Amino acid sequence: MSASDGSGNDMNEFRPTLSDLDDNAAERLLACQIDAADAPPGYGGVAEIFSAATASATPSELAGESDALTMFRVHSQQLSADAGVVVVSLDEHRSRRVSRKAMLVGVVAGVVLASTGVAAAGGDLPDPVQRVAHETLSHIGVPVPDPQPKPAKAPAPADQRPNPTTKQEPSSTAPPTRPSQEGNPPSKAPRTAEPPSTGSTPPPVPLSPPSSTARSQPPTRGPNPAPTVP
Amino acid sequence: MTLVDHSSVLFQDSRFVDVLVGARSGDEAAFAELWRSHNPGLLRFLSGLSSEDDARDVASTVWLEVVRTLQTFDGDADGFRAWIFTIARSRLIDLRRFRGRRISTVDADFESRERSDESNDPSRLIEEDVSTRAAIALISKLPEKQAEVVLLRVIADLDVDTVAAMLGKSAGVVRVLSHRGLKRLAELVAESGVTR
Repeated sequence: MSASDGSGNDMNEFRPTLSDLDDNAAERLLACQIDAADAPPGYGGVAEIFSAATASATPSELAGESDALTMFRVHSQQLSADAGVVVVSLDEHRSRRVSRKAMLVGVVAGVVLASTGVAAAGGDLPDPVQRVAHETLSHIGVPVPDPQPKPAKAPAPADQRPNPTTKQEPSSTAPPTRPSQEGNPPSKAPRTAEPPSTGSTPPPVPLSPPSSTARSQPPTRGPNPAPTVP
Repeated sequence: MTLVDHSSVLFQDSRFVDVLVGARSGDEAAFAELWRSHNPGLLRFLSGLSSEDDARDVASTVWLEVVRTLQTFDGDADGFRAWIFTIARSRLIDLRRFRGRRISTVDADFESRERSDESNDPSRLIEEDVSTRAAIALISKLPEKQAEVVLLRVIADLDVDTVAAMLGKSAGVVRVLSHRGLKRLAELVAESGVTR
């Protein structure tokens, strides 16, 4: 740093020839806390200069306020617009997550259906399920073995009605009843095959042939639903 | 001659916090208050180191940067002044670099720097009252580092340590520059006859 820049190379170079201007007086001058009349000799003009330099704002100094406010307004609107973009991005991200989830569910469902179809074609499903698969898929021309031929339905005479006073014994020829609602316990269907050995087997599946009315009913939910044809 | 009360021009901390929060939330009135309170000082500081036209251009870029980065500022009224005057000084250096002029941060003799705005010549203002423009014009006749320190101390109302940090110098050097600036300014006043 050269001496000509006004700062001096070290503190010793600075010789305060202004002996009447100590640090305290200099600080008060710089803080505009000394009136010109009370300033040290020779510094009254400096006090006046500082007073004028810190005077109230002139109209020309405030002329650009409208431009500054316009800039501020535009930037604020831009911030708001950017915030909207962020929200849209979050929605898009959320919808992508939903799409990925739906895709995963579809893949799993496809694998389950395919494996179930293979098992049904080989006759490896439990008998009630195998029968449903047989009856369902046979309608669309897919050969699925029937675990046991369904006994022929013996239509009752139209005028033959059950006697309410007579106890009706379960009959293997009687059509199974369909659970009326999901929450109600299903009526027990006659078993034509050996029951599974474990107690966690699914409830018996109705064996009634598919009909238009049956399709219109909501499907029952169970731990092991019967395969459906898409 | 009345003493200058900086508190009437600049913010007190309690008021500043409310205004700053309002400006951050997009309140135009709060930002306008910030602008009105600080833009005159910015223009005077920049005019003391450059032409008035350049001062206005640089001040505009300062406020643009303030608007863009106001959300990141965290401080009191003193800190805000230090912040915007630091921006102003940096943008002025950028302008000089762009124009190939000498930069105030290099060690050089700034006493010969030119002022394009001759209307600020103190000799032309002798017959006028001591106006703000004349005062700034006289301060601008100081060697640039002295002028910079005096302007930051007087116009921006920044303390020695803050100015030292802004300029990258020690507090002792800033005090030396202040003393030399005061002495030289007293001589300039006497020479120009602007004041008694």
